[in-house]
Amino acid sequence: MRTETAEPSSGGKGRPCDPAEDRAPRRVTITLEGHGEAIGSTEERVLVALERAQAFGKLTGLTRRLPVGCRRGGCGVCRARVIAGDYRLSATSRAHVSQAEEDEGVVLACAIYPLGDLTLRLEPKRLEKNGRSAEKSQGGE
Amino acid sequence: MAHTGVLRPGFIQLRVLDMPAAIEHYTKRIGFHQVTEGPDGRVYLKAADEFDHHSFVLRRADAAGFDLMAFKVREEADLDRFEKRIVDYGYAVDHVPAGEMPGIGRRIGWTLASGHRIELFHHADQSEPKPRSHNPDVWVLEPHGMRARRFDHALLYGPEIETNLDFFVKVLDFSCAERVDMPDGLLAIWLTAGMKAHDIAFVKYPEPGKFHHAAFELENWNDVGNAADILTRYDISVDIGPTRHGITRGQTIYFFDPSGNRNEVFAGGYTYYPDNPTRTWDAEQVGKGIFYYERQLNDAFLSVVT
Ligand code: FES
Ligand SMILES: [Fe+2]
Repeated sequence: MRTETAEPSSGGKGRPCDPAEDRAPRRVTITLEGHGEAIGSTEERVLVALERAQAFGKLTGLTRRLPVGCRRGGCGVCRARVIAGDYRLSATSRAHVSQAEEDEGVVLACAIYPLGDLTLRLEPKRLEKNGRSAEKSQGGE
Repeated sequence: MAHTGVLRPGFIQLRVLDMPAAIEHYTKRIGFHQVTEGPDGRVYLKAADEFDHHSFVLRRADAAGFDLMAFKVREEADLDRFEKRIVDYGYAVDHVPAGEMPGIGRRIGWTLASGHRIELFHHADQSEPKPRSHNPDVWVLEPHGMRARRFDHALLYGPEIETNLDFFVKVLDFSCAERVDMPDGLLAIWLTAGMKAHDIAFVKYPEPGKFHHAAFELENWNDVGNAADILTRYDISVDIGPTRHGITRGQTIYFFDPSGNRNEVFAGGYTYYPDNPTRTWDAEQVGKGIFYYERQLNDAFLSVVT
């Protein structure tokens, strides 16, 4: 169950990693809006939990496979928007999420760790000047 | 001396998001050594099996990716000879003074049609650790981590790779060892300055200046297996492998550094002689060319770059 009731537009609150904070992993539910739920942990990247859920057939109705690239916040293919829930941020490339976007809850799903239950939706980059969208650049079927 | 002009890749400079994590990755996991940190915070790395000052440079930045790749030329005068040829080809050449990087002499640099900065240099100090040259042991410091022996090559993504092909062959005297041609044109090229199957490669991509991977040479297939064990033990993000490339025949794993820059460990690969024909691949067989065992591209090959 989600405990957050934030407005969709307000997004989740990211804060920088603090290595000193308590890292005892807690189980959380990650909801990919419209597609299903994943069981994750506060010590696991959200994208990795979603990958596992996909492998177990828990994510449905995706028009293409879950976009997975570097899993380290560099390539940008896993761009998403947190609709509800708190998370902490790890290294994220500014090439893919601006500061303004970060403030409104746009993230790279591989570069956030949930602090509790989380709901997000995939948000590939819009058309870039070269006419190529991040969605198209995911490849696959 | 049969091998003149451009000898080989000298070093590559990549942008990383988290410098301490990058240093740990490249030194403890890949098996490189930190030579020094420059006054501007750039960190200089090398393999213990390399003589020259450094082969890998890390720069802290807000976005991951590629800054530049530099090739070493045989003679100091080559720098002037190549500068003239590059300018005649139509590219603006700039000059980087000696000492801009510790241990490296003057460099010349320019931007390719694909948007990548390439440089040439001749002088490099040597640095420790390095192999001995008199009665040498196979190593001075025992290899650690993935046991990388050198920075081997890079694969870069960008537009206008037909022009890159023309430029590298006509101006820098490289050979094209292999190429992939699709119905709509050239998709990829593997270029060599010497006798390795490739020193640099390009794949056609709409966005300029993008980075696919930097590769580290390993001794053999057993070391590729050892690298795979390290990837799992330290929960490093893996793209694909261990597998093999049909193109170059290298045995390989693709994985990512802590900033999302793709790395490769690479063993084997055939010897290329300058009189060898260019090996060609078509759209039907390109899967086997890239990933010989899987026989198809994975989702990430053509789309995941920094
Ligand atoms: S998979 Fe590369 S940024 Fe998330
Ligand atoms: Fe490679």
